Amino acid sequence: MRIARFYQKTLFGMFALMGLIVVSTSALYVYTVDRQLTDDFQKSSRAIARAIANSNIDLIVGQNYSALQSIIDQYVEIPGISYVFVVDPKGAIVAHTFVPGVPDEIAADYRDGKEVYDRALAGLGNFSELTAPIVAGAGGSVHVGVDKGYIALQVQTAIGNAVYLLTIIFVASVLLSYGLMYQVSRPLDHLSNYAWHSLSSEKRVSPPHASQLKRLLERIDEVGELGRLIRRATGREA
Amino acid sequence: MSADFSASARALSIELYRGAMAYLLPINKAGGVNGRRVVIMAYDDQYDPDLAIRNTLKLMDQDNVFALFGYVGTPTMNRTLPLLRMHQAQNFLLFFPFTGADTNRIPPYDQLSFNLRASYDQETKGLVDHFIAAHRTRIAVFYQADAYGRAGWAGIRDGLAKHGLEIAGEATYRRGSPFDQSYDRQVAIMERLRPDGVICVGTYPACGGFVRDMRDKAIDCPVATISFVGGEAMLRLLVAAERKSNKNYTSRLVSSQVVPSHSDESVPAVREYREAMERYSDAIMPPESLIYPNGSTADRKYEPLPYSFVSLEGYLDAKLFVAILRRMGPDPQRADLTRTALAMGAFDLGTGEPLSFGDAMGRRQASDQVYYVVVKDGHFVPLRDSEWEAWVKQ
Repeated sequence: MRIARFYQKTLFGMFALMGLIVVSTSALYVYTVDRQLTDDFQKSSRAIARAIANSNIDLIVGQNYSALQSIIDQYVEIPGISYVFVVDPKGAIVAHTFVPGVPDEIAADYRDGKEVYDRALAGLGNFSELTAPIVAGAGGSVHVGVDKGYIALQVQTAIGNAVYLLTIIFVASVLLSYGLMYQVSRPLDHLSNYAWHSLSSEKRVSPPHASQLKRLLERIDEVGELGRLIRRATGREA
Repeated sequence: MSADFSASARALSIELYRGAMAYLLPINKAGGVNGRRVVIMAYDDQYDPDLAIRNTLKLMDQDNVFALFGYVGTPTMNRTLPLLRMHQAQNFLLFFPFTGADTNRIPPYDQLSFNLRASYDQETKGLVDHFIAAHRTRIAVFYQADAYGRAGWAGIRDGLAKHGLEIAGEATYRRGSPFDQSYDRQVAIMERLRPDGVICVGTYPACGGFVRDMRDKAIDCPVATISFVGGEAMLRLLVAAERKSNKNYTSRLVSSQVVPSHSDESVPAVREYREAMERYSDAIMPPESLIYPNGSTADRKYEPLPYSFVSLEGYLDAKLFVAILRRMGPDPQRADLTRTALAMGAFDLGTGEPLSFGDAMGRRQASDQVYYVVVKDGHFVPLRDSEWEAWVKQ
């Protein structure tokens, strides 16, 4: 399938434009989804930390650590939530979900009242740790760890699906554009062949088939008019 | 009854059920209590709190049982207590759960149950006190990462705090961990800590595996377990492991219990219990459908223990429950259960220990007694107070 040369630049321009749209849309999508999902995870983790801190004050203050543990155990069943721990007013960890123990990195740094800790835990991965104070900090604090790897996986999955869809649309558009261009440029190709064959002594192309020529000369558009002019110019008109 | 009959803590539930049935079977054969048979409707919760909730709803809403009895485990009980509170108008009570956690002993759930056994706080305080008296002040904890483990951990922490000490360090494991699993990560923590003693708050497969791996790494400090561990079931696993490896896994083990030693035939209740267990050993197993929900296979076959602390506790639980029922007359009403139990006053189940409910504080835990046992010739035997001297740190 050959396409008229003067359309080839247009076609290339179209493909380049579509490619640019796909790439820029994907980039924007990656940025938006990444930010949105990360924000959502952080917000829900902070909400969990606040829910534990605000709704279980009696258990924490009353040192009913067994009941408190029952509650925090339920939160680590939520996908993405990797660990929860509760710190008492004296700064001791009084309930947690770690196995086989509280990681050294956390044991060394959890008391300075930050709202968010960025953790890299050996053998476990990278985490965002959101905190919530209990009774404005007088009762201690609740810490909820979100697995950054899990967030990244969710972002990759969402983005992967979108980019996959955009790629399919791009390839389909390319094929469709190419087909349409071919339909448009084929009569010109026949006209060009007819002109070469009729007006030049150089017979470097074969003439259009009789049926193709008939269809060409019967066209009511500019291509048909040019064909009829060439026929008149060569004196072949019946 | 909702308990783990088919998963990681099944030996505890099966033995508790067997002990209770050893008391109830002859009672029912003799015409029951005031002409009524006492039946245990048992469901398997696989030590899973969600299943325990479903079973409890079934027992209360569908089966309309007279009382809830012999629940096994802290995480399961903790999650079912709010259900009892929601059904408070129907007067459902939980009798003698197989746990020493505080959750049903303190508000807001303290009015929903009765306990026969001492609490984990009392068990762990006793162990801590004895260890410290033996100059063992660096106490580490190996515990199940859930509400049960946390209850034991809190008891040990409080016990040490009374001596001005803190827990030397801790290692945890996931609920349901089997004996065959490696506990090297937990043992590595202990190697680093070099404790004078370790208190285990877990179940028999995990505690057994942990002791095995500790001894394999030549950490030979004393290891204590609390009653819920299931001492005999753990011992059975360790003895089998000893045979395979030719190593000693059973020395320097001490266990706190909430019932007298089942080998102490000087105790009337123990004699009575041993006779019943021997006589009804085949008839008191839970239904096969309960312990083998996916069919019985050779590797899943459960070999009942002839005697155990757990089945003795089940036997005493049933004995006390029947005593309460007897006082309720021929037409017992659920609404009268609390009043009847609290009016029991002082009583003796044949353990030689005075028990009571309902003092000025509305006491709902009958016993405060903690017993200690050690392994001798492959069996648990009582450890007298004077024998703790052998555990003094050299």
